[in-house]
Amino acid sequence: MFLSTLLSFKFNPNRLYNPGPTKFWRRRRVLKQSAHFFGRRRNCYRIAIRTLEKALQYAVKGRQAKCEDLMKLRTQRVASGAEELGMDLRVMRRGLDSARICLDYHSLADLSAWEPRTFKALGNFAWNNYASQGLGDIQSFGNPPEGVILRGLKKLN
Amino acid sequence: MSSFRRAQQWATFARVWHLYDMRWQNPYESSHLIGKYLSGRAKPIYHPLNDCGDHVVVINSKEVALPGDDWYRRAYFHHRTYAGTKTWTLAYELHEANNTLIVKKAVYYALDKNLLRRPIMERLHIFPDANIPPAIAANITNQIRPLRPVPVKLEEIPQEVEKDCPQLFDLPKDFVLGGNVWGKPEPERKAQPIRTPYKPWGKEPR
Repeated sequence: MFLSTLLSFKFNPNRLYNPGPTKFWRRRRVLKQSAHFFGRRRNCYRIAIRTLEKALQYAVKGRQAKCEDLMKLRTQRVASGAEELGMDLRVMRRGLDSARICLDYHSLADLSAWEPRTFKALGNFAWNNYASQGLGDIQSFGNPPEGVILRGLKKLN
Repeated sequence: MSSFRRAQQWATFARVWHLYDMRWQNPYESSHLIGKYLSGRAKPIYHPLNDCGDHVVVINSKEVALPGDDWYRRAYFHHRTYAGTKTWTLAYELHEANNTLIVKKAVYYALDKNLLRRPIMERLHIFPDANIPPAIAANITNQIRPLRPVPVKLEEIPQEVEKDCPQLFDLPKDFVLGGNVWGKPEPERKAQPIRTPYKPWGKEPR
């Protein structure tokens, strides 16, 4: 298809305006991206370019929304895992951060669902570490669980 | 047990039955707590499409406590889809008609607005007092901690404790502390829906 079009652009002497191959390839790039659209949005360039621009805008929005949704879901899962241990998300986060344990919400959410004992060990450590700093109203959760040895690892200035 | 099934934990997907005592609790604060257990957000395996919610049994819903003057100011809208049938029922009127509806509506509004909302509401069991059918009571394995401590009424304080309290003021016999601070409407008014559309659509009356 495109070869014959190319040839007609190049070698048709009766054509008054010969746009040349550059325009053809430029349009073909767009039409390849719009190949899965429906109707004339698929093959007619002037309609396809409009639809494609809007589709790319939607794609950008979708990428951002996906990040936000996953972040919300993982935060929710870590929070529920922390509440099962008896504290809350803020204690978990601050306790790990102040000990420079750089686990993101993705890792923590995976641990809370599929490795509950690992998550419990991390949570008990975070609770003890946060309680040893004497910040906030940590006493409302009661005493932190025993069996955690901090060895002076508590304060981050 | 084969080594492949060693990590299967079917009890993860079991539905737990929770108990919540609604005595002297704010239903609009408690509804978010109850909704968390109903929709499964209290579990680390939560996903919005994952139907992993629990059952919640709410008792003492007739002793619910609304904040401020909400009993006389909060209106519940209903439309029977016929012309001229829009009604605004005040909270205390709704409570006199059915003493479980305030809790039910509060939880219904607190849940996510999607197609899972009505199946989730089927797992909420509300009882006006502490009498639960034994078939339901046998399932309960957990109690949700109430958000607020239940205050003690003056009439419920025993005589011995009341004697020991120092009397700071000599109040007259007919003095009632906090008797009519919230502006209760006239007492002869009956509990019936209000026909006058004084409330604009979607907003609370001020």
